[in-house]
Amino acid sequence: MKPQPPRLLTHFFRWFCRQELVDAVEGDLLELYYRRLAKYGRTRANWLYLWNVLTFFQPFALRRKRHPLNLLYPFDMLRNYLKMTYRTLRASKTFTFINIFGLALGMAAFMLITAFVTQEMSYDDFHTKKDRIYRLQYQYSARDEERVVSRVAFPVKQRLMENYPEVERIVRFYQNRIDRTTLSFGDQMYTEDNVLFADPELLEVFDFELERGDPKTVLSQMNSIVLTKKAAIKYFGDEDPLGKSMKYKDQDALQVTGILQNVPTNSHLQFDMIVPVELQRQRWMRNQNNNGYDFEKDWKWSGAWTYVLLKEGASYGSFATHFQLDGIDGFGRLPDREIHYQYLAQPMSDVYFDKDVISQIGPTGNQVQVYALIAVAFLILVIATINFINLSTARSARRAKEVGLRKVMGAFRQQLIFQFVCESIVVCAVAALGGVLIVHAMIPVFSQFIGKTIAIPYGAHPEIVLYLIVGIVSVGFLAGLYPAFYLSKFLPSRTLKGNFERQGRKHMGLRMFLVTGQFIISNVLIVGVLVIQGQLSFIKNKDLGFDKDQTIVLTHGNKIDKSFSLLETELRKIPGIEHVGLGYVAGESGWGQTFRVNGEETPLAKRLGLKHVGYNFVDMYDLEVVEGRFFQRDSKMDSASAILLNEAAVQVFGWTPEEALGQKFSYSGGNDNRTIYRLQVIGVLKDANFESLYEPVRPSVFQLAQWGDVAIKYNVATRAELFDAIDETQKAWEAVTPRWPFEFRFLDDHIAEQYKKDELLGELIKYFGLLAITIACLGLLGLASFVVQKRTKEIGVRKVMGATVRGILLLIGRNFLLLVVGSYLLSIPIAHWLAGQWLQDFAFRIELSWTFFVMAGLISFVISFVAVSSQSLRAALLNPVDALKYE
Amino acid sequence: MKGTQLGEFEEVVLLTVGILYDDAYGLAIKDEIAKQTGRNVMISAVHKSLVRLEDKGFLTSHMGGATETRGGRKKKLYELTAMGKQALARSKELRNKMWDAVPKIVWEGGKS
Repeated sequence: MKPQPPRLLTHFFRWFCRQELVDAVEGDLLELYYRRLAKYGRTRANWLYLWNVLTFFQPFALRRKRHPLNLLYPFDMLRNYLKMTYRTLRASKTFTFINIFGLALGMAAFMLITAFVTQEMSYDDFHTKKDRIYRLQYQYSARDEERVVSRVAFPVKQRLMENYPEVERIVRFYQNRIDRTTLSFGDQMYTEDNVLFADPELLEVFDFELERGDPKTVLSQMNSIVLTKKAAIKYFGDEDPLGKSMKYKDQDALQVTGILQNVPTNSHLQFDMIVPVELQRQRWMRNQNNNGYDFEKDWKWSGAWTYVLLKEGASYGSFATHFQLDGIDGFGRLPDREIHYQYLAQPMSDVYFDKDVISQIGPTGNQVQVYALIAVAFLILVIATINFINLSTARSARRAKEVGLRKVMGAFRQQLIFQFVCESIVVCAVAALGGVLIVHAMIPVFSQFIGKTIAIPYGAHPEIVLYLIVGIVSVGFLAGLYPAFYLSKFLPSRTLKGNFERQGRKHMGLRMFLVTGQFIISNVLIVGVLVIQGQLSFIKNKDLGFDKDQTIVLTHGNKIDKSFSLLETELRKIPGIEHVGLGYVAGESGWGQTFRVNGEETPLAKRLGLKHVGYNFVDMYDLEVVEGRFFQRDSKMDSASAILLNEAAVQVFGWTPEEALGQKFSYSGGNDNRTIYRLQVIGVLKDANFESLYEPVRPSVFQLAQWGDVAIKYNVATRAELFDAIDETQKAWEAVTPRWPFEFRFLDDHIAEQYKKDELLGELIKYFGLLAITIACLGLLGLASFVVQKRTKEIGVRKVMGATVRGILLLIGRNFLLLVVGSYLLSIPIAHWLAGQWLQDFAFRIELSWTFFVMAGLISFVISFVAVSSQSLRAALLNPVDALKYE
Repeated sequence: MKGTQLGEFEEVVLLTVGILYDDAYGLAIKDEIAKQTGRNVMISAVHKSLVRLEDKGFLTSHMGGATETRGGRKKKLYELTAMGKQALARSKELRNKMWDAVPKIVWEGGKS
């Protein structure tokens, strides 16, 4: 064989050269090539060949647009496409409806979720210096627990400002969560639970917009207060608040020095008003009970949320390392072999999603939730798009003739492709319009549902409309592409002869594959919904080990200290009240304390929970004393040194309940941390989960309370009676302590609040999961009806030959059954893994039993059975005469 | 009517097609031009010119005459159309007329 010129070049030439010239020029080039081959040798001939090919790459030789008519009047064709689209869509209304409705639902879900997710992701984005802001935290690791706390000691600020040249500003925040604050202006007095203490540098670090006042000096005076607009309106209405004087806790006069715009929803720092942290310091220092306590000197109490602004260009890495080394001894904490401290600086952008940190300043997001939702959103879109592809290709049988005829009449393939893509974009656009309408109808419901205002800010971000259009075109394009290429490929000679079957069969495989994918997704979602539902109701109904019904907790109960016995006497006179409790209230996380046991500092003396409870704690929460006895009223010894343990604590020490009795515990505490409390175990309580079902029961020590929150347990038959009794309670309260407003919360509500976030996730996934399943079913319905239509004649013949209805149902259903079963089997491991991951967060969780999977299987089977059999039954019951009449 | 005027290279190509008579295809034309005028032109330039001239109606073409040396590819054989011949004739006529209009004295080199 003769040597050939480089094949690649020849291919390239053939690719670009116009048809009429290819042979002639290629021949010439070959002739030249052989001539040169003989004369100069192969290499040079090759190079010259390349040169020749390149010189032909110019307009005269290039492929022409094959249908120049298109270019002359593109809009005519476009108009024609649109008209054809309209007609084909109208011709099969069911298909069109299924298609558009499914897609609209999918898009609406996608848009809603995107709006939500974007908002979650945008937390704290509005601070212009956010890349230089870090939150200080520390991690303490004891033997088997490791926790990160988001607060550090107050003096850390001073140390950093003095020794760290890279630090520009530091802002500390403080808030007392237990003690509710009252604020008054004139005779208006409200309880404020979101007053935030802050350092005066606040506005130099964070971009909270100051509407009135001087940003440099608003917080520089100790007795100043900055209100948000919301708070300003609450107290002052239309009056000008600037310069007005407000009373803090009825003691300190504060002057309003600035008005802030309301804090954006997407800020993790949420507050209604800001007061200089110095005020709190002064209040503590002048309090005689505190021995002049000054938090600026207290290294032991991690009380301040601390945010550091680094100088521009400063390295985060070296700052973090420096800080970590500096704090390796816990900033002078007592040396402790058991507990290790590690100080950290967390970038501002991570703060919102850091939900595992203890004592957060504000709301946290759940990244898992956000990711799960993104996944669900995409899955829904995928399902909807698959539906679309399936339904379009499924109809190919009907449209094959149209395509054939068009081709015979001279349509080019490109035109056909364009027509189909155009059709699909139109459908998409209509669906998107429907989707937008659905979104707008749903947004208020959705916002209320997730407890946050979600908006689609067309005004602030007009590019959203652009995204929407790009989205429509690209989804329409992608969804239309496959049907377009597939349909436009038909050979007119075959399709017009009615010999279409063989061409269509090949693509059934792809459709089946897509439907399988859809069903796997829906199955996973069904299992997810079932598991989440199961776990949440498990938690809701789980016996916490104590009675939480008909119990209220007074907001200001801990303010009345000495008047408690007076209040108690008054309350006891009210008939509906069963118990009045003082001290620890279930649902709170409570204190932790490191104990010495029998005088020894053993590794066992870990941080146990320490709960100060009242005499009637056991009766009030309906607890059981397993061993020994509970505290007795008027026993000096009990109030001074008696404790009870819970079973979990007994287990920690490896005792039996009997052995636990009489064991001696001690801990040091008090304001100077030097008072030693010596205690002896008098009883063991049965475990009850007071804190959270995310955690196992905390090993705890119970001591008698001298002060604390006030909880009231009622025992009445009806709701009306309960509220009557609460009214009575209010009267008694106001008689005893008129200074503090009567405010309360129900204990069971309060406990339920913990699980709100997961409930939300569960509900969201449930609804969107159902949506996905609905869409998938629409697709199945469409596909089934198509299959039935295609086989109408076959079914007619079979019936004539004596086939039973059952046999025909089986015939049609078999394929679908296989598909449903197959995708079900494939979905099990995926669903199992995902559900297992989610459940891991809970200390008390349901077993991932096979019932969930069986249930999910049944559900998807029943749904698909209904979808398929409704269609095939129609065909099976059809009179064969009707089926065979048409030819 | 577009382009009844011939360019210089176009005229050369047309004439060459005439010279080669029944074997006028791209490469042969290029070779013939080289032989007649000593100009080595690009094969692409020849084809470009041929396409233009065919568009203008001076040439027609048909496919034929595949040979072994061309790897079995057909040649695109060009032929002068009546219009092509007319254009050549007109061009020649024009030239002759102008030639005649030049005073004899210019050729005899009287003055300069």
